[in-house]
Amino acid sequence: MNIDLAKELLKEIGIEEELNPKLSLKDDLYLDSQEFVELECAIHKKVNKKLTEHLKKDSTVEDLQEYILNLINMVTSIPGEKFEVLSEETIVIDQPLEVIKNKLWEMEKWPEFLPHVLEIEVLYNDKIYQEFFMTISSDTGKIKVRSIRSLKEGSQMDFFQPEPPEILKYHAGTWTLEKVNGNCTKISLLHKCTPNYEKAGIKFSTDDQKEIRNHIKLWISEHGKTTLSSWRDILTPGKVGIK
Amino acid sequence: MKSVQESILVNCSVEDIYALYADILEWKNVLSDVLDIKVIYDDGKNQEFLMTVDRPTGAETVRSVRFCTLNERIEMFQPVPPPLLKFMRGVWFFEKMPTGTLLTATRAFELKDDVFPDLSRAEAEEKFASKLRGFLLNNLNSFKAEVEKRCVESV
Repeated sequence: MNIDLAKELLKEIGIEEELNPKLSLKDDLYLDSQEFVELECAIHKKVNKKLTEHLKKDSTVEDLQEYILNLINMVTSIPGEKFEVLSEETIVIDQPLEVIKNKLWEMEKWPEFLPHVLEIEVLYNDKIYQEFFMTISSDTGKIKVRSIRSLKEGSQMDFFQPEPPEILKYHAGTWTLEKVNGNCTKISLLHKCTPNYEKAGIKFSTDDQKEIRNHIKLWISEHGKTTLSSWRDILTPGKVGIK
Repeated sequence: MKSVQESILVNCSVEDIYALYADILEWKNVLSDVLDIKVIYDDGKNQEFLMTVDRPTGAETVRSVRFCTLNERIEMFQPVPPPLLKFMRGVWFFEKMPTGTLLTATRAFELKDDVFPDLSRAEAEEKFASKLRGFLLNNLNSFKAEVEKRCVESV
């Protein structure tokens, strides 16, 4: 059994010895109550989800792996929509909501302050709906993606990619802005997708659909965190991008 | 920008009439002037498709994008607007009523500057709006007839 996630999380709390799936967390790795708490905190941080039940004290390493995978797979499906993997990331930024909303919506200005965005080609923009090509630099070279967005009442923006990356069949999401603590703004970025199991299976070297969804979930979760982190750097007062 | 709106009462549930509108491939079965539909993307909420319709000047293919909110509303816009327009967008609303569903269609548009040069701006807009109301009413009536027929058949 693959125990990479269990290894990664145990390493975070200082357990770095040679592991095998059958080792008991308590009896073989000698985790005490405090370490179980630290482990659950690390899991929570990793999966970004509320833990609905505690990790059992008599768990083995493979039980821990299963526990993490089950959390990752807790998908809340949306009626009428065909998405199989959802991931939501959130940050709070010390800027008024309107400033952030304008920065997110005015995509033609992104190349001025988002280093990885090389070019924006606006195909359509009527102030409520947008269609544009975005050329970005990545580890594998330049990538050009087409996005379509709609600005909802309040402070919500929906988006989708009609031609998603090849490992995905569907890819869409929502930016939600909420005023908090006076002049601060909470930004939530929800990604929704469904794997293209054939292509994703090749990339992740597995035919197991559950395992593919796990990989995709972690991938888009990391992508979401990186995106929000970039925007926090841009939008935080005194940093590049806010004038 | 000018807006138009038409409504009709449909003797079926919100779920039935919404489902017929949301399934874009069904449009061929409802509207006689729809010749072909090619779906580019459809995740259940977001849709992009090409629709070829029969017009007096010949077959015309239009690319449309829709955002569907289950049993509530379907928004649409055309990234490449019709020849006379700067933009056109609209919404179908589905509202539960005691005797069925109130179906409402709205459209907002802006004419290009050189359209109908012999008319004032307001007259030109009204001329186009009048034609658009006709299209909307035809659309609503056609869907009403089809969904009510299906509801009767399924009883």
